[in-house]
Amino acid sequence: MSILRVENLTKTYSSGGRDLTVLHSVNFTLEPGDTFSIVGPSGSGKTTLLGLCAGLDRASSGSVYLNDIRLDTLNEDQRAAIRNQYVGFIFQNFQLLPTLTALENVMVPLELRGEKGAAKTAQALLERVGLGQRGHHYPTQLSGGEQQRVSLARAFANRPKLLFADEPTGNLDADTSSTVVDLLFELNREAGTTLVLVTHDMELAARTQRIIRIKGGTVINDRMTELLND
Amino acid sequence: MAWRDSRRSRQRLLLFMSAIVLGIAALVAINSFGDNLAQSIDDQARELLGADLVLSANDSTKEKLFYPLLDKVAPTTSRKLNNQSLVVTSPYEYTREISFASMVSFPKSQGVRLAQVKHLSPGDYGGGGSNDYPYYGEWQIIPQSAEKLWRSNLHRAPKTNYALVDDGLMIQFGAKVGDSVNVGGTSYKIIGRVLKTPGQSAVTTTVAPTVFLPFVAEGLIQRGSRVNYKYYFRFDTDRDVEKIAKRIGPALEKAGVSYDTVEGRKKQTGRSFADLTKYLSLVAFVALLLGCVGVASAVQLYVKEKVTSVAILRTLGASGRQAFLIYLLQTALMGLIGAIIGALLGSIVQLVLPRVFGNFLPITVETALSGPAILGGIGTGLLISVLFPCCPY
Repeated sequence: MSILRVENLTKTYSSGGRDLTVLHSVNFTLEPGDTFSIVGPSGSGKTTLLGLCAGLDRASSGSVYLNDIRLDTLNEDQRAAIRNQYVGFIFQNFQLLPTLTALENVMVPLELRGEKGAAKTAQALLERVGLGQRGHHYPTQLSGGEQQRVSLARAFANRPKLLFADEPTGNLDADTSSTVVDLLFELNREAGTTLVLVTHDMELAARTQRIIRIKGGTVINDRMTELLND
Repeated sequence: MAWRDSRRSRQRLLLFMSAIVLGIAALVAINSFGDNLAQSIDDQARELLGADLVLSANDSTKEKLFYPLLDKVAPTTSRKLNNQSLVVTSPYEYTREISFASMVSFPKSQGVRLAQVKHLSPGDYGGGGSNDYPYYGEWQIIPQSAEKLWRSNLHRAPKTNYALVDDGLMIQFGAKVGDSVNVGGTSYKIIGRVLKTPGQSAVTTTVAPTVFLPFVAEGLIQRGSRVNYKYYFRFDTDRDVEKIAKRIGPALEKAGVSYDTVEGRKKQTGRSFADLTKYLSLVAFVALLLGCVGVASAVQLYVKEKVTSVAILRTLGASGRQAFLIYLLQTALMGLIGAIIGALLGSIVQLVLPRVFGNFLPITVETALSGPAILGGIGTGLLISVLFPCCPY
């Protein structure tokens, strides 16, 4: 059973009476545990594709199957429930809730699904990312790298089957990026999560098993990384 | 999560809360005052009238009509004592009050003003005549002994020229106890200043200040004088005065005599002040409405700032209902706190209101916490904190 299947996915925006197609008939399938990169220039439709795969947006045509559940037939709340159950997110801008502490941010996915012992689980995850002592700090009291580590802990809090990372190192310097990426792959390996990575960084993309290249909304290349390396 | 999320935004929510606090404080204060006023009118209804029954006429000859009527419903009883003397017992006692407008002058300051002149005496007919009005409530006179002295002179013959004069009138003309006041051609010595009489507010005495005379000098009332005669009755406690008034009422009205009972005065005063309370409630409601606009604006601003947080929550899997409830609970909680503070503030303010309106009121308003006003205020605050933020803009 595939964890993510994308079939003929097309997204068109209408603006000022004109249609703009940002994704054209994208197809791919991911198996559990796969690591996968979407690369391409700015405005090529990478983030749009990620949003559609995660059920954050609706496609104009085509389908997305997440854990064999067809997302386009579900309403907003049903898709949110699927995200809470199967999906983790890491964003370029970290997207931590500024009013909550680091610990509380990690607790959010667990609390949303009504799990007990959320604080304990969140604390263990913060310790895993090396921020065990910073749980009571607010995001503004943390550096960019620390915020992204909190974000990593939050992403893994609900033990997702699929992790979407949108430019996870886009706002970090080289040293911090390296630490965060190592941690991301480490946690991913430990949890056996499928990783979908959107990035400009070919070096980072090369660490995944498979890369698709998008340009102008069309997949122009879909190859296993080993082949690319060769 | 709602409580935790509000932690860093509470200063902002304070703005929203302050709108509720002020609106609810006004509402609770006015409603509490209204409740206390109604309760005080209820408790002090007899003091408002000073008697059980008051008959009013503009002609002294009407007096002789009362007694046959009263005799039918509350007859006097007589019995022989030791087979010799006859003891007549009346079920009521009464005081006659003669009042008319007259110019009064203060020789010391040479001030002249139109005043209400009043004289109390036992009536000319019937068996229960006295001049002990007010039967309920008290006159507030400085010095206190002046009332006793004045009353004792009502019986003395020849009558001494002692007068009690309204405090406002004395202040206006700089008169002091011991000075004299001239009414008609007669000079009276002022022996006391009257601060308050039952059923009268400071404002009404300002419009028509009263001078109480021990006797009406000859020539003061002449043919054509506009004189009002009031008869204050106190009945034995076992008498149903309302029933008596109902039975003799039609005949009295036919004879041109109006009557007033405790219940009637209670309703009349209650109605007047219910209008005042309604007006004040309207003012409070407008304040609350402005508060509601403040609440809506503050929450709209707050929610706009929270759009990103809502988006994050939705991404992490929060349902629309969960995201909505998080922020609704925050506003409801702040609204509840605001409403409670507002209710407390309103309860404190209502303690001051009787002082503010004291001069307009014929009774002393006893201040007490009004449960319905407080609960109503808290409920209203909670309701507006939940409803107004939901208004689409």
